[in-house]
Amino acid sequence: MPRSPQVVMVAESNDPDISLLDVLDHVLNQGIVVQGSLVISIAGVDLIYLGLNAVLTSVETAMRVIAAGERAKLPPAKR
Amino acid sequence: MDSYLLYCVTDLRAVTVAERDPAWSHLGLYQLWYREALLPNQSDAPVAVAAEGDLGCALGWLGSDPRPQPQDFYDIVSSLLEEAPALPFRFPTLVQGRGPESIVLPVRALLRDHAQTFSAALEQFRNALEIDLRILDVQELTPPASGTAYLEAARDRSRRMLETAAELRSYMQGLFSEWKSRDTREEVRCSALVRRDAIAAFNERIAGYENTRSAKVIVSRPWAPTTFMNVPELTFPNENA
Repeated sequence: MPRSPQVVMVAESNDPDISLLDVLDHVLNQGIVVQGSLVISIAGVDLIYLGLNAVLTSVETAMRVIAAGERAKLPPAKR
Repeated sequence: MDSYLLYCVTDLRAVTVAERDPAWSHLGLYQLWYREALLPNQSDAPVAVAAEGDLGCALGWLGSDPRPQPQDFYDIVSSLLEEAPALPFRFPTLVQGRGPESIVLPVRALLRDHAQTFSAALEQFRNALEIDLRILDVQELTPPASGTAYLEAARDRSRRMLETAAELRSYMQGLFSEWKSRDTREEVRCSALVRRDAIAAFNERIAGYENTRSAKVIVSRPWAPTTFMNVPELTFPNENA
């Protein structure tokens, strides 16, 4: 019986689902954090709202990807 | 009101920038060149660089209705990383203002006030990138007979993944300068800081890794070394508020 590979190189697998989830994990959780006090004073709007809005968009995308992945894993419907 | 997305801090000496017009240059704002062309963002606007000494901050105009896309952010940071060290901002770091000067001056002040921190981090990661490894246990589990059995199975699973992580670190010795691991319960995530000129050797060696614990290792591409960045939370200088 053939064994599944133990090491998978994502960059070479052309698997957009894994790649996008990896991207989300990196860009949302890591990086330079700047407190937004000046940003808010320049903008005149609530930056927290803006940030939340953007993050929600990302999460929606992630959930669509996850949902698509879960559908792909489901066995074919029985008749 | 215009919105700008901050991408990353970089070393101006390692990237190519061009003047857009004298008014922009006077502000210390330039356009980023990548592979002998302008680098467009999701709004098809060229990525700009606010310059302060040897430091640059890559930023992109998103228009008046910003919906920053993580993939676009990642693509631009990755393009820059091909040529230069880069310290990405956490996505999404948005700045709003009327006209470029309302954005550029505070961004330049941010670079100036934290120049030592940024320069040290850029130097630390000048020739290094991060490779991530996700270790998953793929052993088929039978439904637990009791809560105790479930907890024991989960503990064994976690132990197998941690053993694989330790073994992997030892197996890759000599090809990374720093290594970090964390157990998320579902998987163990490892990050290796690898010299740019050792990435091919790293990938080649890890492709030959085998274990007897039914663990699967997912290796993802070189990233900006954010796991190893130790930049404290920053504030914009108050005098520019």
